[in-house]
Amino acid sequence: MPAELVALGASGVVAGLLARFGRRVALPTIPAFMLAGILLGPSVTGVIDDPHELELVAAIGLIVLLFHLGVEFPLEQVLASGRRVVGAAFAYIGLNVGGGLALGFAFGWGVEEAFVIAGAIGISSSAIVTKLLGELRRLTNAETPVVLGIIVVEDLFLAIYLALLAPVLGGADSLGEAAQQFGIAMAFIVGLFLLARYGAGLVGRVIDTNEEELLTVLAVGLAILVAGFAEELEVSDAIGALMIGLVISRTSAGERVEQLILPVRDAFAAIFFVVFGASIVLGDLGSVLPYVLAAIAVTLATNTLGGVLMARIHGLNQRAAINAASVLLSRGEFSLILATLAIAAGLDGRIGPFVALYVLLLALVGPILAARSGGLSILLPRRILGGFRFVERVPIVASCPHLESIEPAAPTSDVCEQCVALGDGWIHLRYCLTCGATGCCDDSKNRHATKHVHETGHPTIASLDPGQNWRYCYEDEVLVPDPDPREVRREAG
Amino acid sequence: MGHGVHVTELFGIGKKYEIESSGEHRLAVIVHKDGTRELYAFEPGRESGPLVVRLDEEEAKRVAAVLSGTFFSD
Repeated sequence: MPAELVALGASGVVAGLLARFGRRVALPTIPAFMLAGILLGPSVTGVIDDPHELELVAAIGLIVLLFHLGVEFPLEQVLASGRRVVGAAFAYIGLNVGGGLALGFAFGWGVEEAFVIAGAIGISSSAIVTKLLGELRRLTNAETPVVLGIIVVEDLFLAIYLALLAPVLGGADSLGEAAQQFGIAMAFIVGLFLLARYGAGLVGRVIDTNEEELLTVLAVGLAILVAGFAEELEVSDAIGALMIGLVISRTSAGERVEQLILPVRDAFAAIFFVVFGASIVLGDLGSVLPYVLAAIAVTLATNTLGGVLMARIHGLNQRAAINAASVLLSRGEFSLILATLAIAAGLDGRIGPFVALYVLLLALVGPILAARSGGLSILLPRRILGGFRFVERVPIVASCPHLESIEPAAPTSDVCEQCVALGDGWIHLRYCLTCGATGCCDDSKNRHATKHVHETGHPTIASLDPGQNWRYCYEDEVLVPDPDPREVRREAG
Repeated sequence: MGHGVHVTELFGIGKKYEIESSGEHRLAVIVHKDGTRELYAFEPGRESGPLVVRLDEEEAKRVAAVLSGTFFSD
């Protein structure tokens, strides 16, 4: 017993101190905790003699981590945020997980292992991304709401992916058994989803109380209980914790639980990351290095592509695309969770060190790239986001006084009359928001739109191309995307 | 009342308020879930590197009182 206490305590202290030093080299906390685990583990100092001793505490860490995720999950807002955000999220997730799956199969460690690798490579760390956005002062950027939407959708995707992997992680031997386990997992998720939708009031009456002490006890107990039940049903405890968190978020106690759970989460989640690190044999890291480097290369490629797709869908420029792609690079808690479940299921032993080294290296590279993303945006050719030639360096803002003071005119024509008269062609069309005059863009030969601005002094134009809903102000030299119809309603009220 | 202010939800963080101003600086306020406020002021024409002023809830109320002319000193 004393040995376990010392190991547990040392985990917390060393993890915390290492993370403090890590901040100086811009290392996020999660990989710092993992590093502490490696140092304390049997292959280095041996303070944690046998990581399995701390299994229960680490499991609580995993449970509370996902429970908190479920509790703070903004379900309604995501559904209300519209198809574009969800579309961008699906594109991003599809690319990254798809790329990871292809890589996983290429490794040849096994089919089940490939699916675990796909998830571990494909899902960003919500914790690190959120912190990075704040540290880089990017919270007001145009692409930030989309980035946040993506990581929220990723959380939901994780739940579904874990259900998908239930047969893999539960050790199904036949197709029939696999289908059965998948069915049970889906039934469990759907059941809790329905409870969240219709039974929230009932659950609230059971656990809600004014006394914070009791609410904490009840919430933590419930989370671990449901996670345990999930384990009994051969559905991962991770799914149980996430789903019951979702249920709690819909009750009257939701917001308070979200706050109360935070210190519990921080304390136990750190132990989870440390124990993961402790279970890594240092010598194995060298042998997985080539795989890790391949994975990082794939991640860089799929992330960049995802960023470009996201920018296309939302009408943002190259800068926004690279900003988003680089900030979403970081991997962390979800990858480690998947790896932990894989190890427990007895899959290829290389997954542990592979994910550990992958997360560690990306945690160093990611923030550095994100900080330099402004410079990196030069690398994206204009073609990919065609029609945005002058938008490369132009700031995107929510409004400009010139736009607000006029009643936007409708375009008077769907061709550039002046070009037609000259017998010329054009590339894109713009129309003046003050009088509606339609002219060709600056990529075209004659640039009639800009000429109109100089001749009349009307400062604002909008794009006439289908799917492009931005406006540009020549006075302020800013790009103003079309406001969300919902926002307009909110402002009016 | 909402004229001149654009509200955007930042999932997991809070709300972003972009405030129109006729001055040359672009202004925005982030209200975090935990009550912290951050005031962002951008140099004209610059998209990055804003001045960020961090205020907790109390400080924000004090600044708001001064700005709205409801501050009293003895």
